Amino acid sequence: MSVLVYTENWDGKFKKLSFELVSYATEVAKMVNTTVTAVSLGKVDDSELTKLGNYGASKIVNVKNEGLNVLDSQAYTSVIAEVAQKEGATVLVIANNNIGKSLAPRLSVRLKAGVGACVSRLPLNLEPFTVIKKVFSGNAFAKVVIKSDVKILTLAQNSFKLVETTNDAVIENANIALDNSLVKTEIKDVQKQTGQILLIDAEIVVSGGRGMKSPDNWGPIEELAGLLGAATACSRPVSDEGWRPPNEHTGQTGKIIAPNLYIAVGISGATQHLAGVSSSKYIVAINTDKDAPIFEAASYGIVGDALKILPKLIEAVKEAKS
Amino acid sequence: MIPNIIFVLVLFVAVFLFYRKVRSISQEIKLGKPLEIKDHKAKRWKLVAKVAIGQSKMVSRPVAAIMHLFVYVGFIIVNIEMLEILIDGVFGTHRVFSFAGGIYPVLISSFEVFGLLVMFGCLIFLIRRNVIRVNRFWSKEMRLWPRSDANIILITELFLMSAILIMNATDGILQMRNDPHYLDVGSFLFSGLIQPLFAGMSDSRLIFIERFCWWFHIVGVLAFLNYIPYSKHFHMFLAFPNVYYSKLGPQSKIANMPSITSEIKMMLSGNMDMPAEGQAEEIGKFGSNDVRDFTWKHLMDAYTCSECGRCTSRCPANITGKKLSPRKVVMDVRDRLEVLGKNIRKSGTEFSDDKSLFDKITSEELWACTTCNACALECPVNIDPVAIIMEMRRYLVMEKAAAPAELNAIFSNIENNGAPWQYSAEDRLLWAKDLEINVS
Amino acid sequence: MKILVCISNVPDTTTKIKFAEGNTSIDTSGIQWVINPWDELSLTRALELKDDAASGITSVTVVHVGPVTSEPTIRKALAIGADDAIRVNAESSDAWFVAAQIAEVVKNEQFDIIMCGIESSDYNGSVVGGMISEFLGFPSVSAVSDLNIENGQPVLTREIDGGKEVVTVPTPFVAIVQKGIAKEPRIAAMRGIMMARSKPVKLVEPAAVESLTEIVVFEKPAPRAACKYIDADNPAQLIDLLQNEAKVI
Repeated sequence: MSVLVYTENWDGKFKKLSFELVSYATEVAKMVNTTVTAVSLGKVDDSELTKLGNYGASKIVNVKNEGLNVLDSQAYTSVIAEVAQKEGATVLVIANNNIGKSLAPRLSVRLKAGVGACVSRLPLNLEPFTVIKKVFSGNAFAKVVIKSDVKILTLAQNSFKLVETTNDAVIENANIALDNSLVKTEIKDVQKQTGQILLIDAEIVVSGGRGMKSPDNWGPIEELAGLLGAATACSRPVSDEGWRPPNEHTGQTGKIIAPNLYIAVGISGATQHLAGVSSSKYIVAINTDKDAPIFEAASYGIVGDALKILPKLIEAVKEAKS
Repeated sequence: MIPNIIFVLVLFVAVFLFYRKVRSISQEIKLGKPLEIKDHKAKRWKLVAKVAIGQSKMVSRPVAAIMHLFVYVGFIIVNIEMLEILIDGVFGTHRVFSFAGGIYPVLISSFEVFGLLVMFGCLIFLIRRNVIRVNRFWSKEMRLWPRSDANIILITELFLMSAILIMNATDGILQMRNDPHYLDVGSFLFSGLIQPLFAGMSDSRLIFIERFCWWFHIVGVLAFLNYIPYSKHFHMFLAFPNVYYSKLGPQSKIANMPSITSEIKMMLSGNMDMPAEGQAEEIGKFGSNDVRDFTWKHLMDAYTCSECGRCTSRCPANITGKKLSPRKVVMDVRDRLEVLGKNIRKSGTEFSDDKSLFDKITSEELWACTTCNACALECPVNIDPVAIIMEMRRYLVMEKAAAPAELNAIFSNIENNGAPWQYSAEDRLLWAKDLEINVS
Repeated sequence: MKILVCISNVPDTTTKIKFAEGNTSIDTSGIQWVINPWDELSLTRALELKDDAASGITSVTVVHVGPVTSEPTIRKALAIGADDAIRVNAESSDAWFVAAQIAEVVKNEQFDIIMCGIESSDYNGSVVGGMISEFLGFPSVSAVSDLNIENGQPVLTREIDGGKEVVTVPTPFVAIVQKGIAKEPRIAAMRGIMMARSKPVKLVEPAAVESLTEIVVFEKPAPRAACKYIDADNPAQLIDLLQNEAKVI
């Protein structure tokens, strides 16, 4: 018996998301009275692996096969499933990011495990195993019972607080035979976004909409984001017009994010946009239209001209920093 | 004798070639879909009298209108002289109408007056096109052939009228010298004024010039006659039927499509009798993506275009910098029809290539049209560019759903939310929330 | 090559969701049903590929698991341009059930590319596509933002954290697609609507499969606290609140 958590690595390093997953898995393990095993695929140094222990993992299974350097969901699934079966995992915890979305369903079929997808809270009950999740793009919640013996939970990013413990985790270098013919994905080209904070990882996001009037007005948004250590985002019309790159588009058909703070400047707050940001802890809205729907979702709001307010905000942040 | 035979031959060939070209244009126009226009005969004839003969729509540009009047009227009247020239040519007579006596020089003189007016008009036109460079003659679609076409016509007419005057001048001098062939028929008004240029020449030289001008003129006219159907000058002939068959009633009224009307009636009546399979194919293509999808009237419109550009100069889209030029749309239809017609004559009516009108006319141009109909109202020969644009738009929307994204979004929203915007249908009456209006 | 596009039937995004029967089910009265937006984009891309003669795509089939009340949505997909449709006659109880049914359909027919939207706007599960591929043992590529056919070979672009990868996989495979796969959803033209009536919708009875999860009750989200307004002339107050009250900066 154990709770198995799949901790993804990025070029051999873990992110805050990985630790969130382990913290969550630790709490679940406490509920079902068992321990947490983390499984990591690919080349990760032991010094990095032990960090997982700090968030509650008691065992870390490290699989280093060469074939795992390419993300092939079939191959990864077969490796993780084997580990899960060896460890007798009854609950698997996976991130609800793109990789998690490609692995969780395959593992579900492989292990005949029901999936509680995109949860942000611990399970409500064990008998029957009940989780609560958002449905209808955040307009409602549903309590879902998972009937199978093995359960898979995918955790929404930035929804669970890190809990640090001291733990001496055991690192096991597993030798899982990987049939290389299973790796069918061939990579032709890679483009990586360098430098900036990734939107999905950012804790603070400053986002601009059509109310900014022109791409030339983005300076203050970028400046404010820089001062706050935030990522920049935009609404759909802005990315459709080409004012901002498409990877900044947040919304129902763009990126769905859940930062601690989402500052929406000149965004009206159409349903589709809110669907992408409604999980943010705090939303601040700045808009000239007092009836804009964004104010219904915001915790704080300023009714006024963004182009005049942003410089003052920037001043205030600089003041507060000094 | 021999000159007469040559003349008859030349005449015969010219008329035959002209007839053949006009027939091929008529065949090309008939490639369009059938359309019956047999209503309101009296009204239509009145329209022809007013717009085609009376040129009523030309007046919005007064200078051009007056000059065109000179050329138009002059052309008609000077061609009465043609009759005499033809009889002279076939039968070897000289100025056969001079039997009319004293009235003859008056007639010829008045022909000369009109001839001069034609020349004056052509000169002003040449200056407007090439020196003053009036904007609508220098649009993008007016480079290369259309520009040359216009200049060729004007210069040719100048030459032809000059030939008449020179012919009359030298004829007059020979009359005064009592040449046996050149009987005295009286003096002519304007050619008389240029006689001093030729006064010192020998008889033989004068005869040469007179004959040369005579032949030059008639062969020139016959050649010009055959040039006309290849050029914008064809509007001269087509304007009359085109105006006759043009749209009566409110210009901006858009005709419903009978196939769609019945589809909508079926939906609204809740009639669940699904039409038989294959009905969609029977209805045929919606709208037009190539010339054969238009009616013959659209195609006649295309061939009637005189490339004057008044439509484009009034188009609000064009004036504000959009790509749309109604003239260009009409010209593109005509050009495509010409190419297709040529290929069909070569390979038969089953001919089809992979080309369509969309190779030349872009969606951007079509969607810029506001259907204000300024172009149709302005056109002096009652061409309806909006009808052509609408047919092509119908193809884009009804066959391909290729409307601009904003329009497609509106269609989706109306279908899903009952309104063009993406709000919940439940919120429809929020505007009336605090008002004391009973909207149930 | 034949493409299968999986579509689900969801309430339109602007619908205000209401519950019935003690919050154990959705109140379907007044709901406007549409094709799941991701599936719409997926279908659009499939049709764009078929329109391109060089791609080698010969047909686009849509498959849906649902009762007869889903027929209008299936007809809509046919009107947009799909060649034919398959409906598995069952309520879509959970993702496992739906994926198992679709996998059965694929086992009985030959498809080269199976496309699924990465998420549906009703239950936001993001699992059906992956499950289908594991049931069938096909490779799957997820978060696909672009799918092209180059010289008869499908080439996919998938989004990874902070970037993209261009990958190829052998057919048959499952592409789980997201935003970017098509620029705008295609809509049905008049021609499509009229022709959709005569396109075949094959009815298939469901295979015997148990669902693994079950929704027991719905809840409305707690109403958000009203927005606290800050004076436009004093934005510094906002920074103060964020720092000391919300504690997010």
